[in-house]
Amino acid sequence: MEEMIVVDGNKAAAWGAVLSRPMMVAAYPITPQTPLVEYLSQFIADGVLDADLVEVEGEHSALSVLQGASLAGGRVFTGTSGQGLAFMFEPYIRTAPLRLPIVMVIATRDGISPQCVWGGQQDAVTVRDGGWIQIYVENNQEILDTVIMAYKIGEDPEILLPVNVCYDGFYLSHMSEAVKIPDQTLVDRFLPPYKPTHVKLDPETPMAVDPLTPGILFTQYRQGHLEAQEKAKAVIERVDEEFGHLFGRSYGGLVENYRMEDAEIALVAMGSPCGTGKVAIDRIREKGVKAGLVKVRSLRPFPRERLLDSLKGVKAIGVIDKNVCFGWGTGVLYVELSAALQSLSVPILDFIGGLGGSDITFDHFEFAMNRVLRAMKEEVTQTVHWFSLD
Amino acid sequence: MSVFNQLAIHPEKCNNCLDCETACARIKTGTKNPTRSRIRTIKNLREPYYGPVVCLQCTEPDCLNICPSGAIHKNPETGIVSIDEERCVRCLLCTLVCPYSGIFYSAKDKKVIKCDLCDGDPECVKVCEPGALQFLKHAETYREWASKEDLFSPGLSACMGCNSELIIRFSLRILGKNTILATPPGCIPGFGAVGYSDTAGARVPIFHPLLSNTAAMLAGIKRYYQRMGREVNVVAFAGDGGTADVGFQSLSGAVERGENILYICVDNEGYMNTGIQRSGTTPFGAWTTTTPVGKTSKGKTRESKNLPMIMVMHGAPYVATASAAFLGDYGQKLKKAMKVKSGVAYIHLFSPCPTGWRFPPEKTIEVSRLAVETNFFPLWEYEKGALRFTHPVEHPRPVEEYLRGIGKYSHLNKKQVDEIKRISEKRYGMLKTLMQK
Amino acid sequence: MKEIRFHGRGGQGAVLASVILVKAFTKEKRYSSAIPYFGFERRGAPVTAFLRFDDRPIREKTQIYSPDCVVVMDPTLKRSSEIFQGLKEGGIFVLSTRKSIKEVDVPPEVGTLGCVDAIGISLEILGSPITNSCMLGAFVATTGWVSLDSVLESIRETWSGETREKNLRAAQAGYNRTKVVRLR
Repeated sequence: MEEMIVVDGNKAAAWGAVLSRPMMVAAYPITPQTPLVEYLSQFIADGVLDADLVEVEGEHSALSVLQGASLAGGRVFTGTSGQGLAFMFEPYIRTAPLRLPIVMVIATRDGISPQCVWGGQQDAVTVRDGGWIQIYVENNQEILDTVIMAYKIGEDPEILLPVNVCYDGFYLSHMSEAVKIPDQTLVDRFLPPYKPTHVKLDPETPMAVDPLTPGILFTQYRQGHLEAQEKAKAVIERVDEEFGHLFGRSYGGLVENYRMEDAEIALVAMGSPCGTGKVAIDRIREKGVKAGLVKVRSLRPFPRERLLDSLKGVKAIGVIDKNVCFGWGTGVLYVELSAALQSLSVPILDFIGGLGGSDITFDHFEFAMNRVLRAMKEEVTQTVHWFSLD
Repeated sequence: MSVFNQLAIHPEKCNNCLDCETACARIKTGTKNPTRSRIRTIKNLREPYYGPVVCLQCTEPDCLNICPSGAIHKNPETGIVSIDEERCVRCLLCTLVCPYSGIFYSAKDKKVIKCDLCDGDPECVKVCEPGALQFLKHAETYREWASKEDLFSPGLSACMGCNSELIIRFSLRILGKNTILATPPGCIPGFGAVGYSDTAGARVPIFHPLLSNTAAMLAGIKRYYQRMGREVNVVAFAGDGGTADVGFQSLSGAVERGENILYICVDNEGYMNTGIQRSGTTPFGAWTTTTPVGKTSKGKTRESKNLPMIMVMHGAPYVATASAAFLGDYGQKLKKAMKVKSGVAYIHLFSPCPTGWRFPPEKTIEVSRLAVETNFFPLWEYEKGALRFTHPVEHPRPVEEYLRGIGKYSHLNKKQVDEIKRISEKRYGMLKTLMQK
Repeated sequence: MKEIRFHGRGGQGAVLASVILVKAFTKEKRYSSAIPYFGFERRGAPVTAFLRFDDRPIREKTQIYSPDCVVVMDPTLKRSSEIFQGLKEGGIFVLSTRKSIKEVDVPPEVGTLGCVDAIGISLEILGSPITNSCMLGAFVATTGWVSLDSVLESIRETWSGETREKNLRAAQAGYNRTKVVRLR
């Protein structure tokens, strides 16, 4: 039976893990992910989750231990944040090319310096080219559901890639709300056990994993990896649909369109700001403005076809970036979206905010939509705006 | 070429007690008559040789070659040279040609007699209190080794004289097929142990961990199989950099958590695969490309990280040092390490590198042996809370003998040599102290 | 939708109080969410929590700038001007204070004032100045937005054993001993 409980985002992620039945969990505490490690430890101590808990000495080993278990054939789970992800970078960038479908949540956090323990998506977007699938979510139910879906996506024989489920530090990791805990038997039906053959360390079927691989052969591996990322687009959509059939909740797959049917202006965002953004859209629609919001769930693979489809009719676009893109003077989503929409001649503005735990408010959304409305009507020179600074 | 167990003689230890002669006569004839013994002692102190003489079971025995009646045979299985009494014509030519005076005519028995090694358990050795006689069973190790399948591919391309290939082939024959190997970046995968392109270097599962995460990855693999209820040897062959330096945190975490992995550090005292840079285990005074010899400095200024001792203090249940010059000793340690169930079993293997240390390739084993015999690298093991030397060297040779043949030490001045001596003695002294109950 | 802002100090349980309220609203089949704001995670540092409840799903992931109600868990925080910031005209103010309700001085926008000696009650029942359960009782008594039963049931799920009993008593005492005045 589906049960309704009040949890914070970290606990929602832990429940997602529990229901996915990993055989091993290894994680190292770091703000704002820390409660996740505590919840997982308690679930294992209470017998709610039958898994090995590896109390590692750092994030580097957390992912490394899991790589070992995954290479042997196990399903595994971890989570991290900020500096922890940075410390994990060496094994991180190897997980996807090894084609290990590990699921790791990131309670997103801004990078230091200056010293900062608060939210921001800088950690996760910085590793967007590590070869993983990255899905950004909006609320606690979506965290839980997406962790389960992440295994199904990553373990698909056509994909075999690790998946990050990214939820905003503090705004989701520490936000409490009611979520439905899906029925375990239903989850088991949705998510069959992981049985890898493509890469497996087993004396009964000896295999050399990662011999020195030069030049063209190496290039072939990369090409295969990129193909898997492209194929993942269809798989993410399909898995979301299947999940919807079984559990009655789906999230739009790669992209969720909110009130976009007749929209003239659109906001594009990732993660928790989408929630506030949807309410802001409702409010401006009450004033007669045809506005909509496009929530980018999958940053990797980047859903350029879906976005082109969602945004082809709009007259101006505003991107909300809870991160920055060094060297471009913008946020990351702005750069990605601009590349995807190069065939449209539509003005795109960027709004950077929510860094270092700062709040993205209704005033900010109002400011953003006013600017986008102006860009719809006249040529504007300033494309990048900073919430609370402009 | 076959190898056989052998009676070894250490004449300097002989005290002329003649117990060996008595024991031999008793076991072979039931009497105490020394003239009926197969082993004799040179008693005349003015003789150039003083001590026991006995048949050495020569590979190409002169006695066998000279025997006119074909009465002398060498057993191809045991190596024992024996006399067929039926065929023997008592010409005694054999007693004349033996260069070791190991074959005798017994007037009492009216026949030629010689040592037959008492079916592999020589009586004389058992009674020799000063230890002048020793029965060497290395041959058993080598024969056992040779009887097992080589689980590495032929054609691994290590530098000339490198002992790592010997070490991994030897080790895997003991570890067997039920093994998963991790070889982090370094010389071992560098010479093709994991493989190249789409080829595999071994007949067991083998992989490249990162230089920095070997112990953690192995822990994950081992725990998977523990959950599955399968016993699998999960083994690292890691260099000193991946163990003592960038991989140390991962190893330390694994030891603290009691991960049941077998970790072998093949220590060639530096980053040799990338062209001889200093590592945490590079010894004091050694030249490397990053501790060069120049106007203001002459080699490494810090002593090496004493990794095996750190592992003891860290609480690893089994820790040992080993050397390719003492493969029998290493083989025993590896077997013990495989049986450990309560945590990390750690073996620190001394691995001289002809390329990086600057010595001729044919000297690798000699350098390995000298390191042990000078107490520069003592062989010991730690198990069940106790330390012991497995090859005690009471009277070490001067460390200069070890240093002399190695190019990376050729610039050393007396002060530096004295410092190396001091470090060696300090470490040896620490071991001795820890061995005292 | 109603928006409530909690002000407390690290260790007093302002965040936990907001979570218990989310559970209570959920029991009453209403939607609710609570977002804490942490400065530095240490005892004694000011902590704020933002609670919303409504009959429709809560999508807002932002702090609360114009609360319908402000709950202050620690009397010393009343000196901070921030606590009244944005309070709606006629808004509700629930205060932990030893003063009598007549002595409490509030700005003109406050429409309803609820006062309780939460520290005194908590020290008496729990043996420590952790005021969250007591203030939940005071919140129910002042606002009437949620039933005391739902709050008590949520407290029951949050703790076990003796601590549970003590917190139930503290909430009940907070509810009983809160003085409420309508100021306009």
